[in-house]
Amino acid sequence: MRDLTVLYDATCALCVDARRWLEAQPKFVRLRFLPAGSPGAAARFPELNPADTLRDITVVDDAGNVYRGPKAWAMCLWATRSYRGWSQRLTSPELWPMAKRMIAWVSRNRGSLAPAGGWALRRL
Amino acid sequence: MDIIVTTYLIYLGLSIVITIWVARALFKNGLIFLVDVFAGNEALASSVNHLLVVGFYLINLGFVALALRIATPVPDARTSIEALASKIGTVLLVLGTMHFFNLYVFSRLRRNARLELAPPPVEPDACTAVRAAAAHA
Repeated sequence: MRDLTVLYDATCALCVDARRWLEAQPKFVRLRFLPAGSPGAAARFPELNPADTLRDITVVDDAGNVYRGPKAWAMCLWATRSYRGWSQRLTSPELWPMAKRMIAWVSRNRGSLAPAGGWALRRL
Repeated sequence: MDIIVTTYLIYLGLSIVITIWVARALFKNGLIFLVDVFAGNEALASSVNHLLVVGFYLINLGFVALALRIATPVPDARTSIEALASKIGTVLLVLGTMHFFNLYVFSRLRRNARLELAPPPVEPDACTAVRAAAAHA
């Protein structure tokens, strides 16, 4: 696998901060970012429903494998050099159910969490 | 022979023997780590192993040489043994620190190599068509 395309909600401040943070990380796998629902995303992935990709962050690898929501988060961490270990720990059978719930909660409240999330991401 | 010269010679002899002993242990047991780090490439692993051991010898023998001088007077066997013990003790501590540092480097290299080869942590949800040559935002 050589690159992952991340379809993110470009209208959400937290997602834009997260994109910036990810772009700055050294990576094992290249990450490309496309705003969900944009013409660019539709051109590259004609079969994906734009409404689905706007609701949950979506990651697609170069073979067309689609990862949604918490799995997309795990794949983004997996792409980075410093946090690949964390992607493995978070997806372990013990932590994954809790991690999924937490990610889903953050995703649902991404509007109100933006200031705190942005502050944290700039310090990571 | 002068008692201080005898002390120096014993110090050098012991330090060099200990350095060789530690370096050989490192050389023999480090190889298996390095073979794993370099994904089974034994030629590369043994080359890196040699280079590491050369560095280890240079640093340790350099330290042994620099630490040779005994500044206090050594009139008898008792002061000679005391001076010798403190010199050898320092050399042993430096060797021990170097050794653990080497182990740390090995295990770090190994962990990084494992991470680089790690497969994706989750199974995909679906598969979709990908059109090449898209404009990226």
